[in-house]
Amino acid sequence: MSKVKNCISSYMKRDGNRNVVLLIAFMAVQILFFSQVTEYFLGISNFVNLMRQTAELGMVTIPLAMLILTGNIDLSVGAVMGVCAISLARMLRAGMNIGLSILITLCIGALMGCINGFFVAKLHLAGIVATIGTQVMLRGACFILTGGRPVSGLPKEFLDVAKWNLFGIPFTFILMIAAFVIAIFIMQRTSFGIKLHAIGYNAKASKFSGIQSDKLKFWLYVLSGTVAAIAATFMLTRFASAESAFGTGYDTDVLTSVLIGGMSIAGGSGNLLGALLGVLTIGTLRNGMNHLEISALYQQMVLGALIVISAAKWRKYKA
Amino acid sequence: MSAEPILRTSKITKGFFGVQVLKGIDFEVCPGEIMGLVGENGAGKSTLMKIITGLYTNDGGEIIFKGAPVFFSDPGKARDIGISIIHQEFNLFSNLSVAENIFLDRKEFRNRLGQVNWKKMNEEARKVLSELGASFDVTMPVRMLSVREQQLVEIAKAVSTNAQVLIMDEPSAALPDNEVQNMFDVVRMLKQKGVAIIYISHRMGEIEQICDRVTVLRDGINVDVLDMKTRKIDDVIAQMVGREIKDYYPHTSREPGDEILKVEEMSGDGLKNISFTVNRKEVVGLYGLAGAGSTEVAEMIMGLRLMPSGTVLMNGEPVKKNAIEASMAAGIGYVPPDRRQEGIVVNMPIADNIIMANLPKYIKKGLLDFKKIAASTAEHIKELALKCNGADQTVLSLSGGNQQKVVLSKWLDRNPSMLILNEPTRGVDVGAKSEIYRLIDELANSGLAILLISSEVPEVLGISDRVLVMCRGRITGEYKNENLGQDVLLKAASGTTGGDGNE
Repeated sequence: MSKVKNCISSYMKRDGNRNVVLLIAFMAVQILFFSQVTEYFLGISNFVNLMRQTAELGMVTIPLAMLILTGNIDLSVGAVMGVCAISLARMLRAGMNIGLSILITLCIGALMGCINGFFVAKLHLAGIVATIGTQVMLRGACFILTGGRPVSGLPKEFLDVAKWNLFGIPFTFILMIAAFVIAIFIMQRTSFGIKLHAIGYNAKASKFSGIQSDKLKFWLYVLSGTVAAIAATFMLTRFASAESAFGTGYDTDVLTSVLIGGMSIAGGSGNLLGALLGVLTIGTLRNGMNHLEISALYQQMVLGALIVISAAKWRKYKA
Repeated sequence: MSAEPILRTSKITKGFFGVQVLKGIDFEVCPGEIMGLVGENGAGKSTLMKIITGLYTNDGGEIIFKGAPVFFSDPGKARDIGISIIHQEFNLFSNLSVAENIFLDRKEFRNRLGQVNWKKMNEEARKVLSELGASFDVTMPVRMLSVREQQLVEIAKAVSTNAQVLIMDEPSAALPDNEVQNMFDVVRMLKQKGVAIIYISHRMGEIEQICDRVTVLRDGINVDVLDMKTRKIDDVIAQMVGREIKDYYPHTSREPGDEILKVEEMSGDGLKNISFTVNRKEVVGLYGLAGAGSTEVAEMIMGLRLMPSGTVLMNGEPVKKNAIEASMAAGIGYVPPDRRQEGIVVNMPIADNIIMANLPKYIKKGLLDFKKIAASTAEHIKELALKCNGADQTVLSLSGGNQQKVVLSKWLDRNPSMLILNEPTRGVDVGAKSEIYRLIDELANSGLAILLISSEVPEVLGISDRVLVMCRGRITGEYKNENLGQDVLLKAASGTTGGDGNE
């Protein structure tokens, strides 16, 4: 018993792992709780549903977590998703080839990422300022693109993508987990991870060691935009219609997952496994609260509280 | 000097997590005396001072102030009875005015409603500063002041509380060399007024110049108190390290090789027409007071700072401007002056810090080669005698000297043909300093070209083969280091002579 305890405590001491352990414990507790107090939580159909919901959130979390590791942030993902989904929906309704429309959508996402990357890497704006700027602009674009009415009536072949699955597990969820596995592997086994941590902890020393942080940041923003476009595509197959508010609040959800996962907003500290667990925790919590018929407004308050609790250092400061 | 000490500690002990840091320290300081406190990093200087100022509580022993034992429950108490400390890093609010900083939390300038009497406060501030021989605008925000003036504000803060014991922790570290004498004048004036001063410094020249007595700490005990009227600074150094340092500056004579670096007419950003060369197998000292522009030269060579005009040539080939990767590829390494900000990533392990400037070397088929990393870092740790618990330890917990060795390893890992060392021994204790000097000498002997930028004259004279002196963005002197006197460098650095340099 004490051996296990030692093992866990030494694991927790390593960077970002404290929250990994805490989140696993929290997950176990909440699954137990929800399965006791609600009727349908443990059902297979609910789990499939849960996987669908968390898949897109998880995808977007990967690039954002990397950006946060470097001490940057992307608050425009929700708005980028909105623009991408609405554009895609309009192209599809106009009868354009599905593959081509999706390709164009991805390009739009990448372009939005380029704009953010340009602001941060070239003009040296703070990431939070630049991406709030693009967020507001792009949300405006969403209203213009929809004209205030939801775009629906999409081709059936496109909507069928939502039903793709492997042994009942939604395709998007498998894709998301695979992406996370690859990302975690890259972070741990290539020099990319060292660079991200180094930039986040000390941008100046990284520069003085010849690490080209501007280039790296630029491509991370491009990645973030592209992945947002991918997530928007999958989300559109589920929703079957795109309205002006598509993706609103998504940036906060992603941010919440990353922060609950133990990543430091100041950069440098944290790991991707924590971010994945953060995504699963948030997804499960939301789902469970839906079963409890707690309104979305109260859910928001619970999630907010969770960020603060998980980020606080529960240790007394020594004099 | 009155014989009765105003502050005395007796058998002070203190431990952290089972490690005994102070093992019974007896220390004293008399009114009107400047007591030097020296010791290598980790000897217990700062712990002792934190106990005296009430930041830590001692495990055993007692503090006797004016003949009576005292106990501080918090740092405010120590200040109230007259013990003040000026930290190495100033505790000033840069956006508040000078007067506000001096009288930050004093009640006497507030009426019952909490309204501040600005007129009275500014007048008092002016008075305190004029006592210190300073006369700058007290309504100015502190960020507009020079470092020396900021230090005066710190001193004024202490003096205004009627400090009877004033602790100065590395007061010259932040000051440019030419300001140190002015600071000494203020310190001597306080001494005249009967203030007891505890002067902590790594710079032995200053200790020799200003201190009446010197207490030497080593491994948590006070090994000796030396009266500087009769003893020499060499005795102090010998006591600090517990052995006599022979060849503190090892300097083997060598014949320089062919030219490797050539800087031609580098100008802009305060620099004016800088041209010089560095040869293989040569240590070139670049001496200059703060603001002379030596760091700018280094950063332009390295491509870290925009070079408006001029050329840098390595082996006769021009190096691409403003691109650190080009300078690194040309074989130059740069150890920056501000270790914590520019040199190391404190939260990362030693291994990651060592390999971060040379990542491609450790990639095999796109993946990191952890075996190679372990082997190579272990070799560096052994070669530089880096004291650590292993390559996984974070750099944060290393001493200054060992952190510097990490930075050196980072660049040595690239097998450079030229190293620029900017203040390589800043904040490094005496033992590690001499190790670094020996390393520089060995590297030069093995064929490396070394440009040593320093604002410490003894260091420059101690290990360079050739010395360049800079003043206000120009090179004002170039000398072969043979029987070169300190005065020659100081003169050239303050712009009083032209020297026989490139002017």
